Order: sequence, then structure tokens, then C-alpha cells
Amino acid sequence: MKSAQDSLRLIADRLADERAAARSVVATLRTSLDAAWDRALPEAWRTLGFVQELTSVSDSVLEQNPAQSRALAQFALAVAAAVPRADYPAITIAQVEGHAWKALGTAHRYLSAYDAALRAYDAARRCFAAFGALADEEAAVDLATAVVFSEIGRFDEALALIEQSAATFASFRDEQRVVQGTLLKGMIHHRRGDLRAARIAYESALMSAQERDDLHTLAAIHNNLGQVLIELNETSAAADALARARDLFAGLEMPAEVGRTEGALARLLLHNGAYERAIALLQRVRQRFLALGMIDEAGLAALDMVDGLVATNDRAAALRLTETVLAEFRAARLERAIVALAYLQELLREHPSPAASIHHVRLYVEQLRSDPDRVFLPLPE
Amino acid sequence: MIGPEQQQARSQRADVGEVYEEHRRFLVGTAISRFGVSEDDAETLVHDVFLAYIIKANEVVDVRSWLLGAICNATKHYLRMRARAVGLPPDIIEEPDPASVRVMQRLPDELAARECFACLTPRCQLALRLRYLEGYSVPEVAAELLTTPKYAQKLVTRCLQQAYDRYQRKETER
Repeated sequence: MKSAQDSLRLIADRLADERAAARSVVATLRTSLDAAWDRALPEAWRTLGFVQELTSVSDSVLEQNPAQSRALAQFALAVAAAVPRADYPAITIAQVEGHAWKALGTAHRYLSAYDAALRAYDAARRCFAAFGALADEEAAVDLATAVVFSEIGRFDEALALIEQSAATFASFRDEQRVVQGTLLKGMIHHRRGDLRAARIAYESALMSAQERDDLHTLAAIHNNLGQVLIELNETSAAADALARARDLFAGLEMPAEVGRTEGALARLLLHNGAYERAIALLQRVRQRFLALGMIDEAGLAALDMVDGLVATNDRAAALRLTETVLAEFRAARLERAIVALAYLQELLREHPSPAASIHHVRLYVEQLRSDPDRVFLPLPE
Repeated sequence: MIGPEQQQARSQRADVGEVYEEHRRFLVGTAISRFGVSEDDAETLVHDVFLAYIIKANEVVDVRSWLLGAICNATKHYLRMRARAVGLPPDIIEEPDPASVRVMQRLPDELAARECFACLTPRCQLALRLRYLEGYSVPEVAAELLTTPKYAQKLVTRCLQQAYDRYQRKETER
């Protein structure tokens, strides 16, 4: 048996060496990737360790820069195509390529390109499905696919995939992913409007996550629980949950999630009539999203501010802000959102009580993220 | 001779050899006793499990549970695949495998295709991989590369030409 053990050590050492060699090159590529696409691929880059390193960096920049994450995952796949097949075991090639496809799918999901995400996840699944030892990897792709399905309203398919993957994760005693599945189930109940079922799922996920040191999942559960508690009118418990989520996301250095959670906290303040505090918080959230280049999220924060400004009778400031957002949407070519904002701009000039229309426009802009072809229809008079 | 970076990378990860030594018997025994596979098959499956573990080592919290899950799933997958196999009737048992009939012509073609692929720029590697290996349609390639279907079609055509030219040049240089 010595030879099997030695061959495993050789492969492990080889991959570790390749990754170590790739580290500085990949770090440089982060700023020079555009030029690398049309140059011949150096011989030294054609290794699985190089592909692994690219995929790992793609994962690590996802939250801050999903477009760069996508480009790195695509490059990883291009390099993988040039790796000599005979140099590695087939299962190792499939696993590394599958990871690159999964990273690509997730980057697409962050960029709301759901069809492209599903195609990439399918390719990842094909890589993993050929080897039974990669069953947990395949289940992880199923869970990721369930996230996309839940985003685009294919709830039944999402729930089926969550159940299916949970059984595999349980066989690996992978509690973390079982909890992630329960969290996703809660989100689906939430989106379907079944608030009580959502709360039960979130609380169950929370109990399991608290036993583990999984801060990211814990933060996501607190955030979602907070949102559902707002809708159940349990505002004080909601504020607690959201504040915990914000602190955890801040500790994890996830600025977009901090922004989203602070946005939810601000909406809670609006709901409680604390308009000035809400507007000040929303202004911070908006600046955060603008700095991250997330124009649609910044627009949503602005629409919440418009809501607060109208409630405090500062119609002129609400109108100025709407015009600013309209200009930002035009620059970002968010065509459908522009139509909705132009409608709101007109309305703010003339309508005596525009609150319902502000909420309608906000909901529409929010829905555009999961349904970019949705057509804007004004509220009936 | 390995450099300090490599040395550090090697020392940071769990020694797969030690993990193998510690769990191999248990995993082989599980595959044989729970699923009734032969010892040779069990050894092969366990080897695959450890190859998968190499890539996952830093993520796995409970190594024994993970390995157990992996060997059970690997063995079930193997048995499912084996169940689909049908024995050959005695009258064609001496016939050659149809898949290997044209192997002498096919193999050089496959090798040439791989060599040809290796000559390309990363952009062309990706474009041709999406189109021909993953079966993306031209509009899907366009969506992936954030371009128009017309440009994607142009790119695929250009990349095929690049593959032809570079492979020809390589052949001439030999």
C-alpha cells in the first residue's frame, strides 16, 4: 500500500507547489487580466494549481467585485482547457474544473445574469457527477442552483433541490450546508408570503448555526429573520436581529451586505416614524453603494429617502434626489428603471399624496434585479 | 529542490499520507462490508476518495465523517453504474469493442485536437470550449462574453482559423 500513499503525497505536493508558484502571478493578473486574454498562455501557467489559485481569488473578490470575479473564473476555465490531461488524475481535473464553473455561476448570480449562472452550474454538475466521491461537490452545486431558482421564482424546483442536497450533506455530516439549505427554505417561504413558515425555518437555522462558528451564515439568518419580523410587526425583535446581522457582516468585511442590512434598519426606522434618523442612515447606505458601483442598490436607498422626505413634507428635496438618481440610472443605462423614475419625478411635481406610488416604484426597481425584463406599469389612478 | 513558498504551502496543509494511513482500512472495510464490493474495487474507490480529499482538505472539519460520506457515496455511484452494465452474449464475446475499432485513426485526431487547443490564446480557448465542448449556442457564448451574437459568431470563426493557422505552423516547424 506504500505506493498508493506515495502517489497521493506526490499529487498533493505537486498541487501545493503549483499553487504556491501561481500566487504572485495571479495577484498581478488581477490588474492586468484584460491584456492576458489575447497573449499566448505561458507554459508555466498550464497547471491545475494555477487554475485552483485563479478560482480561489475569484471566490475571494466576489463580494467586493463580482465582475472581476467572473473574469477570473472565465480565465481559470480558459487555462483549464490548456492543462495537459495526462498529467493529473481524471477526478482531480474534474474537481478543479467543477470549482471554476461553480465560481463562474456564482459570479453571474451576483450580477443577476441568472441564465448564464444556470448554464455554468450545469457545467459544474457535469464535472462532479462523473465521480461518486465528488457527491458533496455536486450537492453544493445543487444548493447554489436552488438559490438561483429561488431568485427567479422557480420555488418548487428550488425546494426539491434543497431537500435532495440536504440528504447528501447529512451523509457527509456537513452541518454548515444543511443550515444554509434551511436558511434558503426560509427565504423561499418568505418570498411566497408565508411569514410564519419563514420564521420557523429561520429560527431553526439560527439554532443550528449558533452551535457552529459560521459567522457568515449566522449573519444572513439574523438579517432575514429581522426582515420577516418587520413584516410580522415585531419591530423591537426585528431591530435586534438586524443590528446583530450588521455587526457580523461588518466584522466579515462585507460592505454590500452591511449596506443592505443598514437599509433594512432604516426602513424599520421609517416604519416607526423616526424619519430624520432613517434619512441620515439611508444617506450613508447610499454613499456606500455608490462607492461600490452598485447603482441600483444606491437607487433603492434613495427611494427610501424620498419616502422619508415626502413624509416630512420636504417635497423639494425629494424631487432633487429623484432627479439625481434619474441621472445615475441614465449613466448606468438602467433603461427600465429610468422609465419608472421619470414617472416618479412627474408625480412628485404634481400629485398631492405620492406615497403609494413611491412604494410601487421602489418595489419595481427592486424586482428588476431578479426580473430584468419586467415592464413598468404605473399605479391605476 | 523546492523554494520557501512551496515549503510553506506544503507544511500548511494536512499530510494526506498520514490521513490515508489512518483511515484507509476503515474505508476499504466499509465499502466491502456495507456494499459488498470486491477488495480491489474498494481500494480503487478509496483512492478516488483521497484524491478528492486532497483538494478539499482545508475545508473539511470532521475528516472521518467526510471520508465516510465520500466512500459511501462513491460506492453507491459505482454500484449504480455497474448495474447498468449488461453482459455480452457468448456469440460476440470474441468481437472487438466497437469503440476501439477506429482507434488508430481517432487517437491521432484527438491528440491533434488537444495540441491545437493548446496553441490558442485564452480568449479563443474559452470561446471554443464554450461552443464546442460545453455545447453553448452562439447567443449563449455571446451572453457569457458580454457581446453581441454577431460578434460571438465572428470570434468563434476567427478562433477556429487561429487554431488551424497555429497548428499548421507548429507542424511545419517539426
